[in-house]
Amino acid sequence: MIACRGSQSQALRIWIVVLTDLAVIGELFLAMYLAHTRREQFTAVFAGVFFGLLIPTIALAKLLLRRLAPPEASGDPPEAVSPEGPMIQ
Amino acid sequence: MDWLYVTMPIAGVEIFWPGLLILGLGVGIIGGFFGMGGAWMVTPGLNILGFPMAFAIGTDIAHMAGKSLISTMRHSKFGNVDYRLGVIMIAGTVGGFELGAQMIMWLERIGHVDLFVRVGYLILLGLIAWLVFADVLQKRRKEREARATGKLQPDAAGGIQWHKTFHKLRIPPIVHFKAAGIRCSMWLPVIVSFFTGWLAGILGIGGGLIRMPSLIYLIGVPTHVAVGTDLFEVAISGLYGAASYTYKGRTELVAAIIMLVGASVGAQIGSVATKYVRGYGIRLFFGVAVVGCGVSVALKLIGSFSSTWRGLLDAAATVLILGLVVALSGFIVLRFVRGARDELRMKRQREAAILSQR
Repeated sequence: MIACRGSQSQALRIWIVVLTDLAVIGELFLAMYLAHTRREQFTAVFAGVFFGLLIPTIALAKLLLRRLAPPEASGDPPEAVSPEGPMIQ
Repeated sequence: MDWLYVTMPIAGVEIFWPGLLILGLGVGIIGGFFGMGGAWMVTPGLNILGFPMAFAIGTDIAHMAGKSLISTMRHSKFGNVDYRLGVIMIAGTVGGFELGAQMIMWLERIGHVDLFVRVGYLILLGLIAWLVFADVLQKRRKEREARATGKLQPDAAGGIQWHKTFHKLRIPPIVHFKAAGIRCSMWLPVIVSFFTGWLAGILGIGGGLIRMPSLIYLIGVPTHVAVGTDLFEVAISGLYGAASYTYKGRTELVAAIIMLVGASVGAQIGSVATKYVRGYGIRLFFGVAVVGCGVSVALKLIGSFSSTWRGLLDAAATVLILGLVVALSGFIVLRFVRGARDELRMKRQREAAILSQR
């Protein structure tokens, strides 16, 4: 049961990462659209909208990921990449 | 849909900005996977999308700095970064980079920057392609010989092994690099990093394209540590380079941010994909991508000499470079998804077996 709960939590963490990535891309499109409507202040509008949305999104995602992290895990498992290396043996 | 085309505030050129996002995403996947900034695709890509060459270099370096930091943190968790080697290489990287950046400013003043950088790219890509294909052919020849003699060929024994010669240079101080598991003269990584730093400054690349093979073939670093250490070095040279080119007014920050969004997503996919994708054939695929990128740069170069064919050649170069990024990143994602699916299936089988035992 513990193993099942662990894999559920892991799946949820993956979903949070995926949704965060999609949200950030959505925020980029919104910032570019709004900046395009005020061309004389393009950079300021873009930066204001994009970072104004990005920072809370990342902070929320971090918070959720930390809450869902298994208690013993302080990082990713060290065996995630094999010693043979990624592409060349 | 005219808002998808914007005039960049500093460079003053009109750009199809989702193209920057796609370029960033693809290059992020490739960079995270191969352990390089992927800038050898980005600078020509930006130039082909419409940025003047000096802006393409500056913007590329700015986006690369952020992207490499993300990938370095990821690889660091896997123990793939030799920080001692990385720190020793910083001096050479920064010194070489500034020399390259000053050369670019001088070439821009005399009006030869585009020609010089494109020819430089052609030479570099040609060398890399040769190195990759020669290595693969040598490995296959050794495998054939091993089969003929009936001896098993260990995977690690194949390919070019120049580092064994370079390790015979015993110029003090001799340093032991724990994560990489090698002992060599400190001057070897310093010289390699100075040269790669110079290339980074002059071509707007992180240097990974040449540094990663150099770490493997000249210094003898295992591939997985070369990937992580190279990304650490790319992040350092990228941060220094971004500051240097921004100070010189040649960085388009909005474009860099757009690319960074794509690249940060791509780098996560690419670095995790290293867990699932193995095999020497990947090198061959990478070599083909390098050749394709070289052809794209050549088309752009030829187009600059012919006013009649310029439009057609430029369009062909754009399709080729974006097609390459999409094909290579698509291949990595496909293998990643397949590997992850297999892993999940095995995990479920293990869990089911444990439950049935109870």
